[in-house]
Formats: sequence, C-alpha cells, structure tokens
Amino acid sequence: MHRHRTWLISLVSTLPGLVAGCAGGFGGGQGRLAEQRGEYHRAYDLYCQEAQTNPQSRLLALAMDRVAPQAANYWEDRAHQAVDRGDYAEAWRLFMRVLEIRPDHPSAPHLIRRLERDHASVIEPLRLAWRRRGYAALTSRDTRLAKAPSAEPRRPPRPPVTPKRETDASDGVARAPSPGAPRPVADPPRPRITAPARATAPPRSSPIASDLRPSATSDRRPPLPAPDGIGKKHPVPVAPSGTTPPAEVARKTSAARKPASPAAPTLAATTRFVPMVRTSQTKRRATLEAPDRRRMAPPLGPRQQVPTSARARSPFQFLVVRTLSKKDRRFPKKAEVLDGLTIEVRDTDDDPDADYYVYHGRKRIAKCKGVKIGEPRSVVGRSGRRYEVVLLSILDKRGTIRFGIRSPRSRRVR
Amino acid sequence: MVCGWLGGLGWVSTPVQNMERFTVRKRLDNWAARGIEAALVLLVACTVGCQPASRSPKVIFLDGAGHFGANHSVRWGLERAGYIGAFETFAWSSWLGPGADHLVVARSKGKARQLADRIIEARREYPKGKIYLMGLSAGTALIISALERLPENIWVDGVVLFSSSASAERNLSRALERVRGRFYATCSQHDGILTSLAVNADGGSGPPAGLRGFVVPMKLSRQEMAQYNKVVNLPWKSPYIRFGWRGGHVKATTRGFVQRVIAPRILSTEPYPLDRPLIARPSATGGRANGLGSTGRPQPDGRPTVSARPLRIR
Repeated sequence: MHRHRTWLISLVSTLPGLVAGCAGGFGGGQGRLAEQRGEYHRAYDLYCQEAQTNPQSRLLALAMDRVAPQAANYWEDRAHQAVDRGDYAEAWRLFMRVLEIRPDHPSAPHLIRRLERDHASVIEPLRLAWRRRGYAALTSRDTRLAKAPSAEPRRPPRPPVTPKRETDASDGVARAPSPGAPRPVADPPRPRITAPARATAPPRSSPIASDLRPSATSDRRPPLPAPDGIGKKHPVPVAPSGTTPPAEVARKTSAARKPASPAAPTLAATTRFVPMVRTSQTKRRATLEAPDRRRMAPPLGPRQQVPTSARARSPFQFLVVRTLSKKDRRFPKKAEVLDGLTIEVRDTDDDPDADYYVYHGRKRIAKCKGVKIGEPRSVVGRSGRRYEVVLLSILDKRGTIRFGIRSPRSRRVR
Repeated sequence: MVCGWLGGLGWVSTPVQNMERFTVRKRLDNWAARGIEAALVLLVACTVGCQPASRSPKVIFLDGAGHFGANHSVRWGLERAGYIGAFETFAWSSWLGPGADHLVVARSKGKARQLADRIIEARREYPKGKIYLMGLSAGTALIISALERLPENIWVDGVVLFSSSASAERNLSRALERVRGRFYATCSQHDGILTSLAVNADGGSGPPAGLRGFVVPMKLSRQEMAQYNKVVNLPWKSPYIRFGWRGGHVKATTRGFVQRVIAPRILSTEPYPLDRPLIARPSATGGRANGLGSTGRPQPDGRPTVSARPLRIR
C-alpha cells in the first residue's frame, strides 16, 4: 500500500512538470522544418517571430544561433549578387539585413557606408524608409519607395511577360519594351513563356558577376538566357529611344527577371543553371558602360570556365549553386548546402582543378582532390539520397570555386 | 675525515676543499644574480602597475542601484570584441541596498560632482583619448547629471545607458552638449524591474527610459533639439536572445550583447549603419531629413519618436 502511494505521489508530481515542460518548451515547428529543408534564412526569420512571443526560450536562442551564420551568408551572397547586377538599392537592403543578423559583421558596415556614399540618390529613400519603419523596411520592398524623389531614373513597372515581345530579327533576342512605347494590350490569358521569351541579361560588367554569381540559388529565380544565345556575343538591350542609360537598362532587365511574387525559396524549386560566356568584347563594353559596378566589385582577373561547347550542350538542373572561397572574404570557406551536406574548399590549382571536402556535419565523408570543372562527384546526403557535386568554375587567384549540386535524376539534357 | 672537517670550518684548506668552495661561491653568485633580477622585475612591475594606465581609450562604468556587479560582463564583452583600453568602475553605491541607492544616491548632487571630477581628471590624463561612459539602471541618472556638470572644454566620446531608470522625458540637451559621439540607450518592454518602478531614479516624471527609450521633450529650442541627433534608442528585439539579452533589466549588460551589439558601435570611428537617431541631421539633398512623423509618443517597436517640432529642422 505504501509503495503504491509513493508511486502515485511521484506520478502526480511528475505529470505537471512534463505538461509545463512541453507547453513552455520550444515550439518553432515552422522554423525547424525550414531548417531541415536547408532554408536557414527563412528558419531564422521564423525563429525570430517565435522568439518575439517566447523570449525566455533557451532552445529558440540556440536554434537562432545555429542558423544565423548561414542566414547571414545567404543574404550576404545575395547582396554581392545585387552589387554585381548594379541593383544598389537592393544590395543596401540586403547588407542591412546581414548586419541585423550579425551586428559585428566585419565588412558589411563598410560596404553599406560605401553604397550610401557612392549612390546616395538611390539609397536616400531607402534610408528614410528605414528610419521610419525599421527592420520592416528591410524585409519587404516598399512600393512607396518608387515614388520617392530620386536623382536617378525611377524603376519602371515590371513589363508583363507576354509571348509577344519586341524581338530583334538580327539576333533573335527578346528585348524589354521601351518606356515610351505603348504597352501591349492585355491578351487573353495564355500560358507563360519562360525561357525563350525572356529578356537577355545585360552584359556582365564585373567578372564576378558572370562567373561567381550563383545564377540559380535556392530561390525561384527564372532561368538566365537560353543556351542558344550562349555562343554569340551578348547584345546590349538598348531601348529604341536610345536615351535610356545603361543603369536603367540593367534595372529593367533585372526587374523583368524578378518573379511576379517573390516566392520563398524552397529546396524543391530547382533552377536551371546556364553558364554565361564573357568574350573580350563584352568585357570591354561593360567596362565602358558601368564604371560604378567595377568600383563595387573589382575585376578578379582571368578564370577558367566550362568549355562553351560543353555548356551549351548540357544545361543541367541544379538544386543548389554556391560559391566558396578560401581567400575572398565575401564568400564562406565552408558552407552547408543541403541535406546535411557541407562542402569546404581546400585548395585550387591553376590546371584548373580544385580540392574540396564533403562533410556530414563534422564528419568528413569525402575528399575530392584534383576535381576538374564539370566533373561530377557523387555524394550521399543525410537522408540517403544521392547527389552529384559539379564544379562550375574555379578562380585560382582567390581560391574561389563555384559548384552546383544536382540530383542524378535531374540530369537531363534539353 | 678530520682534515675534511677542519677544511669545512675553513681552518685547513685542501685542493678538494678549494674546489668545493669555488662551486659553492659560484652557486651563491648565481642565486644572488637571480635575486637581483627578480627584484628588478618586481620593481619595474610595481612601478608600472602603480602608474595610471597609459592606454588611450577609457571606459567608466557605473553599476546599478545595489551594485549588480554587471561591470565584469561589460568589460569581458568589450574586451572580447577587441577593445584594448582602461576600464574603470565608478563605485557610487551606498551599500544600504538598492532602495537607498535608487531613491537617494542616484539623484545626489555630490555623487554627480564626484563623477564629473573623475571625468575631468580622466580627460586631463588623456587629452586626446577616447572616454566612454556606461551605466546601468540608476547609474545612468548619475551619468546624465555628471554630464550636465562638466565644463565646456571637457567632453566624452560616447555614452551607453543600459536599462536606464532615468525619466524618458528628461531634457538631455545639456548633457548631450558634452557628448561628441552617440548616446545609446537600451530599452525593453519586457523589463520587469522598470515596469514595476514607482519613482524614476532622477526623480523625473513619466515612464523610465529603459522601457521605451528616450523621447524628445516638448518646448525645446532649435539648438537643444539638434543635440538629439546623438540619441539612439536600442530597443530589445527577438534576435537579441541569441546574445543573451532576453529583455530583462540586468541582462542588457550581458557579455554577448555587449560584444556583438554595443562594442561594434562604440569601437567604430564612423556612424554605425543600423543606428536610428531620434532626430536626423539635415541631408545634403535638403527637405525633411528625418522624414519622421510627429507622433510624440514612443512606439511599441522602438522606432524613433519625435515631437512635432523636429520637422522644423531642415
């Protein structure tokens, strides 16, 4: 009897503790799911939302601490891409996000100040919005910002993606309609044309823009130009009026590249990687036309790329495209990519080949040495799925590599 | 054996004894040399240690009422962020408990004068060095009072107030005239101590600044209001739980928060990009530089709050 009473007392005393522990513990379901999917930036935001209502949770703090570096890296990569693209307002916004996540970031304050100094007219409305709204101004693009007075030409509204586009017969490349031209009458709803009808990307002014920029990160960014235009020189999308400055053209094309609703990146959203070829002529033109971009992203020098023929032949679909660097501080040396796989760049050679290690967490599962560009290496993720790591470019001078990860099943040639 | 014994006494000397005596003397010489060396090192250490620290930057920290002992975490946080400089804790507690400190000592003119004298002394020691004032809770009221008592030729380079229990509506313009850099004030609506506070440490009316930050008081002249472009409220945000500050009163001085959030602002020579001062300086393009509304009341998200007057600043 006595023994039964003891059991009863212990059970009664334990039960409230268990219930309270479960109730006051770590919820974070959405954030955890996002983290498991490898969407660390989204997981960080979700954890922050959760922490707003539950600030005492230590597990939330640990979870945020865990995903914060990757989230900061994600936004930082995108910020550098925006700089290379010439979208300085977006770059400023993204660098501010990086700084919000990592207030002691070594280079972000300097880059933000530099953007503010060099492109004051573009950044000023954003700064005003930041003063008014704080972090909310960084997380979403404010439509009112477009109406703010600015010395630079305003970003035009995104042209509707319709099959009918102004096409130059000479090169067959779709052009963005000029601002003055009458907008096409809304056609009855048709299936959207994706790749062939897209406006051509502007010439890559910065070498880093063409080679090291992940054209297909984990977000749903529409694909870059069709491979049939790869072998040709990149035409500059010039408006018929001839008065549009190059920055405007670049912004137009970048606006055209934006999806209708910036959907959150998901792992399932696979994007097509089409490497760009930069000829010497394109390089020269870019140098003449966009000096500002050169200031922000200095040329890195010659690099080795996938042979043109191989690229045109095989535009594979990559799940993730990342850039790692041993010396360039803008890119991490080691990064977790997906499915528990972490890749670390070890060395690059002038051959060109590169050495990198693949990890599962802290455990190294593969040493890949002397890997050539385009050479796939099979790895197995935490879930048991098989992936292929393909080296896309190597910049030996800075020890920078760019790789993509694809599923063997998605290895289909168009 | 007898010879050896006599030799040991020094009466009889043999060659063997001479050799032993030589080695003993040599050892003694070594020990003496070592002793002299040690004494010299000790002397130098004592001399250097007694001198005031010659390192240029200096932080003067004031703890809260009842002496929370937060100075260690602030110091560690700063040093881990790369701060190399002197760190001094200005003891102002009466050791009669937090109540006495908060109600009596924090508004004592004598203590404020002592702190002002200490700042003047530090400035004379380092005429071109950087001096920062940091304070927690009721110590912040003393900092503001001391700044108001500084002569015109004395200034500090930055002020950080953690969970200030001074009145949010206090006129800081006189104190801000003695500040060259930013005037940071952390605030949190989750602060349990300040929420239950009946009287502010400085005796001022209104809510304490540690809850929702400082606000620009009404009826200020243009010059006085312009001083508020140094004031930056740092409201608690959920990402700060990563650094150990969960919105509590004393935890604002936690090491991680100081290292990651405060130190980059203090150690940087240029304005920190994330700073949102209460009143912005006029921009080069003209127009309403601050672009802020005129609500006059602190906002729940800690966004800058201004009265209707700042719009005059162009």
